[in-house]
Amino acid sequence: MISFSSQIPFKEALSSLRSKGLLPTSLSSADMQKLDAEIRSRSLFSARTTNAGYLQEVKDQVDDLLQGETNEATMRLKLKESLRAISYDPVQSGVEPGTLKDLSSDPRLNLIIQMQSDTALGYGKFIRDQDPAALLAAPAQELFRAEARKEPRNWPQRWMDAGGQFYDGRMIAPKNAEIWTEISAFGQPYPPFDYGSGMWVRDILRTEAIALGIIAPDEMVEPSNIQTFNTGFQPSIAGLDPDLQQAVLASMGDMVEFIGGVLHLK
Amino acid sequence: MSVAININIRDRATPVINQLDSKLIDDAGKHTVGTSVMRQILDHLTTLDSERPNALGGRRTHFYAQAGKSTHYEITDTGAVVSIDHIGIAQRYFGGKIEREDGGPLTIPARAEAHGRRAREFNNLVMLWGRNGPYALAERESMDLRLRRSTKKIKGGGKAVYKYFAHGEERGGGIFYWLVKSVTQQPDPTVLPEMSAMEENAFSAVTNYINNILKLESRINS
Repeated sequence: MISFSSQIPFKEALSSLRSKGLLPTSLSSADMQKLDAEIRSRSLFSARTTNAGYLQEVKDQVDDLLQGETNEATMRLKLKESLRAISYDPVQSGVEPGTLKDLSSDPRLNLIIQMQSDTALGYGKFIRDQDPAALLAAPAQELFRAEARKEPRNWPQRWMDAGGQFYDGRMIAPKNAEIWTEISAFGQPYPPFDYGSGMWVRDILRTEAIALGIIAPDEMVEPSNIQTFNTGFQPSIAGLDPDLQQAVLASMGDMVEFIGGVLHLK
Repeated sequence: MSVAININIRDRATPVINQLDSKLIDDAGKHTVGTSVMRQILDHLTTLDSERPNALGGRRTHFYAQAGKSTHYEITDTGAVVSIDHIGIAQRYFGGKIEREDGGPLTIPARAEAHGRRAREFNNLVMLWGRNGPYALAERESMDLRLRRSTKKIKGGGKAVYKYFAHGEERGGGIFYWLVKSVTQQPDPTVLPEMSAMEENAFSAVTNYINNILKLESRINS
């Protein structure tokens, strides 16, 4: 029997977002890429965004978005208001208004909204998929284009270069195969795999995975040993947990320092 | 508002799964139900995303693709619940009247630039008033002024230089949003796969799964 029901929250996605520590930083996205992938996944940051209060607003808004309580346009408006409240001015910050470096520009806000919500959704799915029963039911997944792009990246080439195999021309691999981390610009085994890529993953059921020859009939895909967001570090509204601050410093060596809770290049 | 769908397999499939006497195998059957319907909805919404760009043009918000990404499931005692946690999806499916809680007007985009954006994101809109009150938000009218120079010979020789402003390009006046008290949307059941198709898909997936497990068990036992 099938019927409509009341909404269920995507617990794993919400949990991943809520347990992130805020990481205000003056570093560029290229500099932040040097940070260990696991630490990046545990922190909420945006390149050259030094105000923790604004990052908290981003976090709150993404939380509402994940619960289906707001939309992208309302969220963008709230973030613009939040930037106005802290007197953010792109010219005073030395960036060209309207560009990606301008925190208040539409392209920048659209990017942060999409990246933060997609990361929480991608991670939430990844964690839910680690349940042994879920892996038994759907042991593989397919990389596919969910959103059209004017200038799409060549994902089949990227997949092939990373050692991925094609099944009937489709990019499919067991859920915990290395390929998922290999194709990611962020070193994570879950989507998004690159900025604004429009790519996503869909499950391949056990019978289809066997029929395509992705797994053997008696093969079980083992759960990943990646740490979940709920273990270890504790989030902090004021900034990053001291333990995570130490982990950031350990990861980036003597390149960076924390001044007043904000990560700067030395 | 979001949409959630409950698929109960207790009557038809669960007794068979229960005979296999393993929580892992029983749960995997429910995950098969949840996954199969979740994927069916994801594929359906992805197709809609490619087929239904907004009528006004402008930047695409990928409403349907985003709804697809927000689709997830949870297993229950009797099967699975699949939920699409995306604002607006239930409104499109069920339809109904939309009004603002504070009684103010709704803003309906009238041109591409307004699509997917809130009126307050623009700082150059003015309200247009009619006999029955405000009816639209339009771009503030403005006109470029060009500084021009001209020279004129003057008596006794020499030239005088005059500077003056001339009319340039006129801008604005275009309507960005229509203002309405309410909107009544017709239900659009094509936003989701048909309920019967989802039910059939779930049972087909769980049947294949059971057959697969039974085959595996018989191979291990033989």
